[in-house]
Formats: sequence, C-alpha cells, structure tokens
Amino acid sequence: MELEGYGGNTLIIDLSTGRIKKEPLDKELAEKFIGGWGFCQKLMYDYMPVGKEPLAPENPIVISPGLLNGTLSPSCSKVCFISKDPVSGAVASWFGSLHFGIRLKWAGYDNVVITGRAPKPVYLKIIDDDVELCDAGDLWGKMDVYETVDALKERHGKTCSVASIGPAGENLVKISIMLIDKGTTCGRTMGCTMGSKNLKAIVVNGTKGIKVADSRRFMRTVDQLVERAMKDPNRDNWKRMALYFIWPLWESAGYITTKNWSETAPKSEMLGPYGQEEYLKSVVSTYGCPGCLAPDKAVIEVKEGEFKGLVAPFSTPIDPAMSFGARLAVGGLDRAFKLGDMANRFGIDFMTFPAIVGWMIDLYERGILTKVDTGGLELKEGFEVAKILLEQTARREGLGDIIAEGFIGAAQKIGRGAEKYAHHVKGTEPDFDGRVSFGMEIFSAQVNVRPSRDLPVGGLTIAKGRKPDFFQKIIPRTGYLSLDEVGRFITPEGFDLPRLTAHYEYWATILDMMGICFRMASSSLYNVATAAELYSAATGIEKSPGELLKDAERAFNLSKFLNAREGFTRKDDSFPSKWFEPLKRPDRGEEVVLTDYFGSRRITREDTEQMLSDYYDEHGWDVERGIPTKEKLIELGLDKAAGEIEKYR
Amino acid sequence: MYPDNIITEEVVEMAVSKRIVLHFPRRLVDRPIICRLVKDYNLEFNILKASVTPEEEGLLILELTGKQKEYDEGIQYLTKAGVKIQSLSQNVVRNEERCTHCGACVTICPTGAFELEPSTRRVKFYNEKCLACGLCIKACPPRAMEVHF
Repeated sequence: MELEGYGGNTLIIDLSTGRIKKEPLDKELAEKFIGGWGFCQKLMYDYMPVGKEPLAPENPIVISPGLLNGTLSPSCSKVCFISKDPVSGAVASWFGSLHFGIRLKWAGYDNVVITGRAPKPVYLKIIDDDVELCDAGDLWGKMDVYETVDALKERHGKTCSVASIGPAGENLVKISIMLIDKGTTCGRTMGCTMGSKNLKAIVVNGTKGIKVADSRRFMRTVDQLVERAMKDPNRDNWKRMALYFIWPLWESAGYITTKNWSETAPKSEMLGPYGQEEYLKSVVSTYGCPGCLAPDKAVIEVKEGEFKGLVAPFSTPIDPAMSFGARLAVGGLDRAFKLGDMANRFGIDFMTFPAIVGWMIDLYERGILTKVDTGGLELKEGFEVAKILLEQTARREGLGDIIAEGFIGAAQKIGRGAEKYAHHVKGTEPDFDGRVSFGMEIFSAQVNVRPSRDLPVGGLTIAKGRKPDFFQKIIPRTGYLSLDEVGRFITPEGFDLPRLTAHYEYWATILDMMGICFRMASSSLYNVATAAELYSAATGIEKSPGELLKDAERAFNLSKFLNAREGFTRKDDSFPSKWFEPLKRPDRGEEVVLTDYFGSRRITREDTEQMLSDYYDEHGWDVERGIPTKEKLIELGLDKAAGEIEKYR
Repeated sequence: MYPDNIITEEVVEMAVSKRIVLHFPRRLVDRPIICRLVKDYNLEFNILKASVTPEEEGLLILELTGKQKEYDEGIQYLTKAGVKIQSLSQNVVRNEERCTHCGACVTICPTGAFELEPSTRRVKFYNEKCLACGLCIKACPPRAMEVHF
C-alpha cells in the first residue's frame, strides 16, 4: 500500500555488482521507526554484518531523510547518514541538510542503502525514477569537493543537490567529511567511508513532491509553528550574523579553548581580531536550510590582505575562528577562513583536524613527539604549520598520515603514552566542555551511542545560569516528561542529571527521526505533541505523544544494541580525563572545575561513575555493562535483537 | 544582426508572449470578452489562474501569445472594454526585509522562478517566470512572498 507523508520507496544499491533495487517502503518500518535516524538504525540492523572492519565493503551506508523533509513544516531539512565510523568502529550517524533530503524524498525515496565497493570510481545519480551508477573517472583524483559539485550541477541541472567528497575522502583520510552543495557539512568520517566504496558523489533531484494525508490538519500546526518562529527575538541576529551572534556568549562562558583544552583563548583576541565586528566586515550573505527562519550559515569574502578575494561558504561560520583561530592561533580571521576553505575543499573535518594538531603540539612540547616523527617540522601554533599539515593530511603524507587516522588510530601509532593527553570521546573531540556547563547535552555527548558532538543540542543546559524552576516549567512543555514525572528528577536544589538526560535523549531522537534541526531556534518551536500531531496528519497513522516517545525509545535502544554488538559497553562511556583537570582562564585569573550544572558541588570521577549507573538504570539497561537488557528489548518489540543480546553480555 | 533600417517590419511581425493579470469589474464578469481576443486579434491564451464568480469582481491570469501588433490592439480592446490590466510581475513581490534566503521556495516553485545564486547562496527571484500559483506563499516560513491582486 502507498504510504502518505513518505516518498514511498527504499533504494538498495550494491556498488560491487552495480545492481539497483527499488522496494516499496515497509509499513511496519514507517510505523515503528518514523523516519530519518530511526530508519537508519533499523536498516543498519538489517544490512550490516556483525564485527567487520569499519571500511569492509559489506558495511552499508544508509541515508534517510527525516519524516518532515520536503513538507512545509519549518526547519526540518535534516537527512541522516549512517555508517560504521572508521575512527571508532561505532555505528555512527551524521546529519546533512540544505536541499538534499528534500530532493531525495521528492524523488520518492525514504531510504538509500548502499553496500559493496565499486570496482572503479563512480557517482550515484538519483533523479526521480532515473537511478544510475555513473563513471566518476573524470572527477576522482582530479576534482575537490567544490569542483565536483560544479561539474555535476553542470551535467545534471542546477536544481540538483550534490553530496561530494574531496581528495581526503579518496585517500581514506579517516577524519574526512562529505559536503552537500558546498554549503553544509556531513561529518565526521563519512567522506572516508564513501571513499572506501569508490563513491565520489551522490546527485539527487526529485520533482514528485510529498502528499500528506490531511493537509488542512497538517497546515494548522505548521501555521502555529511559523507564527512562533516569527516571534523569536533573535531572528534579526540570525539573519545578520548567522551563528556568529553567539560568539561573545561562548567566549564569556568559556567554550573557546586553546592549548589542547587546558585553557581558554584570550578574550582580547577572541573579541578583537576574531570578534563580531571583524567578522561582519567579511559577511557577504547569511543562509540557512530550506524552511529555516534562523539561518546559521554564511558566505564570507576576505576584503584585504594576502587572501583578498577569497569567497567561501561556511556551514557553521564560528568554526574557523573556534578551530583554527583559538585552537591553533593562526593569527587572524582571514587566515582561519583560508584554512577552513582549504579543509572544506579537501573534505577534511576542520573541527577535528585542529583538535588533533593541538594535541600533537602538546605532545611535541612534552617530548613525546619529536622531529623524527614530524619529518623535521617544528610543531607549533600558527598558520604555516597548520597549512602544511592540512596539505599533508589530505595526501596522507608525513605526519599528515598519522593525523589522518583520527585520535584513536593516531594515539596507537604514536604510542609512548600519547593517548593520555588526547581529549576525545569515542574518537571525536567534544564540542562542548563539561567544566563550562555540565548539562544534559554534554552528559549525553559522553554516553551517547554516537561519537561525541553529533547529538541534538536543545541548548537549554549548554548555557549556565538557569534555575531548577525553569526546567520544571520548560520540560513538561517540551513534553518528554509530564509535570508529575518531572518532580522525580528536579527539586528546588537541582536536578538528577543522568536520569533527566535519559528522557531528554528520547526527545532528541524524535527530532532526529522527524528531521528537525537541533538548533535551539528551530527545535524549540516543536514539542512531543506537535511532532506527534504532524506525524499523524502527514501519514494518516494516528500516534499519541506517548506512542511517539515509545518509538523514540525503540530506535534509541536499537542503536545502543547495534553498538553493543560491536563491543561498545560501559567502559567506552567514561568521561575524558581532561575534565577532571581545571580549565584555566588566564585573562580572568580563574580556574574552572567540573561541577554540577548549578555550580553547587564539585563532581569527581567517582561521582561520574555513579551517574553512569543511574543513567543506564533510567534507560532500563544492564547497569554493569551499560547495554540494553533482553527484557527491555522485548518490551519495545525488538524480539530478534532480544534473542541476540545475551551473546554480547 | 539586421541593420537598423530594415528592422521595423520585423518588429511588427514579431511574436510576443506575456503574462498579464486581468481584473474584471462586476458588470463585465458575464460578458464574452476573452473569446474576442482569439477571434478578432488572433491571440492564443493560456489561463494560469482564474477566479470568476457572478456578481463579483473577476480575476484572470493569462499568458497571451500572438504578433506584437495584434497583441497591442488586443490589449487596447480590453482596456476600452473596462478591464484593468497589470503585468504579472508587478503583483508577486518579495519582502526583502523578511527573506532569510533559506531556499524553501527554490525547492517548491514549479516554474523555477527562484534560483540560488551559487557564489553568495542568495535566492534570486525571477518574477517573469512566476505563474502566481501561490505555492511559495505557504512554503515561505518568514512569509516573505506576497501576492497583491
């Protein structure tokens, strides 16, 4: 039967044989796993063999647009990509956006499962019913990320959306990303996975649109959401500055760090040469995803100096300043933009790259790395070294070959206790620092089945200073806990972070299944009730908020199961040692230590171990192992997985 | 290229195709008017949008195609008959203050009247391509697209 609200089909592509199969979307999948991130978990379960090397051809890439992709609901263009992460070996998901998911859904597809390895470089073309693996001989080894987009839009029409990798992905640099239409990133290691499959790009276009079951009902909710969005007091800030408007807030909070996460970058520099005024001189335009009211992206143009004339889009325009500017002290915003642009063209994740280089500088200063390892290069902060290493990494030459391995592989290659100084969670550096604000997002980033960072950030506990009664009010309104339930976790003195996080994660999962952007301006428009209402109106399948939360719990458990199957347990969730050292704030003469969110008590390693136990317990999991129990999986209707989990205990 | 002195004849014979908005006052709604464009002026028309109710003001959006001379005469006839004429492009307007260049309209516009300019990622609006179908109005979250008829 045809399902409303969906594209209606799953594409299964075997790159090894070139076989392309189109199957109607399974109704049970739609009802139980909603879309996007939920579909990705189920299809990984169906298609991924257990225990293979991450880059083994048998491991699939699954792409699923969120349920609301391609509808008129605002701020929901997120499309989920999942694969086995070559850095950590986790089954990890990444999100892309802009027009890609919408076009894919309009072409009639809710999922694309890509398995195997093409015998020679190809790109995948999906234009409505025209699905084809095309020869990429003229692109591979010749074109960077941006040139590939230009070439394929020229070939297949400018309204196509193109996801492409660059030389870094081709060279199996593990920290390589894929970008969509030059304008947004899809991290952190997807470029490498695509490269390992000889898949240079994916071109999509769709013209069929989406039919929702009850359009009047659907639009009633949409109109309310839009009305709310129009009242966002920050709308002008987003429009004028994109994400940069939060820059001074982050500086003041302490998120902009340097020296391998041991101290914050100097305020005078961060608000001077890297400040908003300097940034605004370079902004050509700000842009967001289709349907977004709070555009967070920007195109910049360097107006003077050695890189004058450089025009570059940045998915997160604070990233060049944060990563190259603060972490590697490259000496100015124009240089940070230049390196960011180079990294994007190579297809290197330029949040992870400076994090690793910053760590290596630390190792060099400690004598763990020497000139023997660096090929004679004096490892230090600054533009020149960053540029050399970036080029080396893209080509996997010299020290770049070690950087290309990511934190885990690099620490193994270096040995000599290097791992001790590496600040990462399951192979990826954390975006946020627990010492600055130890809230739900940050706790979840540590324990999440996904490597750090790629989780929805509602923003509520990223910033410090809110009082318990705020959460008592706001959480029932978001709807992942009722007013009665919330009393179990929040008192006037504070909240029970691990248990609250467990429930927050179900809400985060709903956002990811629906394809709703996690930025606060977008995600806070929605709540569990509006999500359930939009699902019901779009698909014609009635679902209550409680049922939707259960679906989220199911997908979340399946994701945890998939990783348990690969050997991920409680040991992988423990907190980075860096957070038990003070974060120095030299320009303020302060030291920041890990405390609870409200700053009322210090948190020790022992405390966090207890917190982990509470977190697993709240999820109904095996506390000792930190993985789902058989009973929990049965309760969620995951009977087959329940039968297997005993094997991994 | 033709030299200037022989171009006049060509202009007269040149085919044109324009999109126009016609407002019919109440008294004209039940009169046969458009058919005369075909009969007397050899014009072809394609109705893009129509809203005609007896006893109320009528609205018709047409694509008119024909020879320049006959097109001009046809328009003159309509004006004389009391029909108010506007070119379509005047009526679909983007409120620049509101637009966030998110591109929702690019995806949804059936005629490709919106385009993302590749270097700046700004959304360009080519109103000559617009059919005034109104899809972009609902699809635009900041409600930047306005249609004035």
